[in-house]
Amino acid sequence: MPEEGLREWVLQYCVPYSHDAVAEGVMLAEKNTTRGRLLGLLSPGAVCRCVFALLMAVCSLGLSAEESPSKVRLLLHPELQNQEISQAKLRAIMSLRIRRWEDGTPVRIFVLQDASPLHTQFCKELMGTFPYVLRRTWDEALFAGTGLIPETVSDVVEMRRRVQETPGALGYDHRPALDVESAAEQADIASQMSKELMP
Amino acid sequence: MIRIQHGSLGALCGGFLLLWPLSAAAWPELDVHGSLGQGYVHSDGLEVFSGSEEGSARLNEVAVNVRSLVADRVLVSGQVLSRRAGDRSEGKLRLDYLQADYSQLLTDSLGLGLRAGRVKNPFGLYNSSRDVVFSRPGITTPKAVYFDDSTVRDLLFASDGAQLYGQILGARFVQDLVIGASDGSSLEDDLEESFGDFGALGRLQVSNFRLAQWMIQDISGQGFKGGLSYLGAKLSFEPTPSETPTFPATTLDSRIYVGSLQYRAASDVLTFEYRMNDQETTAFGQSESTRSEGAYVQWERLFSARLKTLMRYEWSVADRNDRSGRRASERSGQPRYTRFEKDWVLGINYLPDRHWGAFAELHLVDGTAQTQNSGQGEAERYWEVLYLMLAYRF
Repeated sequence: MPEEGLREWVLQYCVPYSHDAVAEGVMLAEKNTTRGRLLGLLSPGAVCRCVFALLMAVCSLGLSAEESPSKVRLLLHPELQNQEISQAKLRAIMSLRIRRWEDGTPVRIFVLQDASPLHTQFCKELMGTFPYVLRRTWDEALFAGTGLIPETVSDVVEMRRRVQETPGALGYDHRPALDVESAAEQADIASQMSKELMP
Repeated sequence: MIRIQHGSLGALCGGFLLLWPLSAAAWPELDVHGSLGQGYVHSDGLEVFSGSEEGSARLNEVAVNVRSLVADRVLVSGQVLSRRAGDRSEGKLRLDYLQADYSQLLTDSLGLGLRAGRVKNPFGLYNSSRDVVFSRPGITTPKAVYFDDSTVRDLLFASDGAQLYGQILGARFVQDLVIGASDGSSLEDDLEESFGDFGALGRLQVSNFRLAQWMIQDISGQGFKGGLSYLGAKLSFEPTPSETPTFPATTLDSRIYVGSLQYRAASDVLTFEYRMNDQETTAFGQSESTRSEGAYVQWERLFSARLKTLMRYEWSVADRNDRSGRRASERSGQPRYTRFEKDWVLGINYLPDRHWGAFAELHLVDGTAQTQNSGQGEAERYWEVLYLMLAYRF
């Protein structure tokens, strides 16, 4: 998830640096003469930080504009909350190469229809692939008898319910937007962060 | 009628029933799926599947499959299939596969598995799921590689035997390997269905059936996928002893090699496959070797998850050393175009929802080397065929 990594990087480094740069400028302006102010503002460190901050801000705006408000997150059955799922493992599961979890529970995959925007987002963001590639893999396994194929559900509500009540289940839904989430949702996201994919 | 005649299948069914109680006290969960397709054929210049000027609806296919995890890491699956394609394939219900599949990830990057029973033959990109329209590029599979309208097709379906497979997951690529062997008995059934019952004429045997496949692809599933496939078998016909045997004792040693390459982008899929078939025929104590070949290049354009167009060019020759067919024509008096086939294919697939699919395909063809004429008249060199199909999956 390069976008996810970049976004967190921006939040961590860009915002404090932009504040630092402005604060440094104000401090220099208060302390020094006009010449001092100019020199202070044009000091290599301050210039670099300002340019860096501007670049990062542009990147951040670009990301915000491209992404839909709610992003996709992985859902696991409650008994699988301690599972660590890397992108490689998720790919192996979705391409039907892994059929059981470590404790022996069969993997049960739930997906939305191929044309669903959230399914497309799941394929692109978490899998790094296209929906049709997964569908072809599943169809081949289905009609050659070489794998247990994912079950298609009608909407996100059904997805959440089926994942919640099916042992060994894996699915996905929208992640609540960061700026509107309640305290309960914050806690939910915090618990989900442990299951975020690591590239 | 499902024919389960052979020892290996009986053993498989017995093993299946024995394994069942190991899995759980309850009856294991069954996953049932299937597909039904009804087609229409209209051809001009050569009669395909009885689809002459009036057109024909004698093209349909039905497949129903079931699978279940019956014990730890053992997947059992089976499929019955009926395919009617003009007069050649009468649409008998047959057991397509019935297999037990054990797989185990040995490490994070290495997995091994074993399939046994009646198993589908992995061959090229499309062979193992070629009988269902939803899992092939369009209504037809490229016959330059998959012999879609030839008796050799029957050798490719499935075989009673075992396959050992492995997967190597690297940081960037994943590789899949399969090797398999069979006693060939299921193939004899398929061939008899195509040729007709030999009855008193003699006995057809298939032996030395071997296959191997290596595939490599980008681990994400997009980008490049490529591989090599091999399939070999020996067919022997032994006539019933009589004073005037109709056919001589004949053996046919066939080895097929396929190279596959595919590139998968966001909205386009480009595919190239090449097939070479070495065949050695022995009759009356004399042997004759021929090497045929075929290839196709295909461009699929995906406008959305529902709509796809297809453009394909196929090319095949009956003898690699006589690609124009001139020498064969001089020898036999048959027209040269019976020794090659060049086929332009235009297709469109529309999937309005997850159950239904509507398919159309137009072929503009030069030559008849790969296609059987089901009509009475002589086939023309240039001919066209239009296929339409409506299909439902569940």
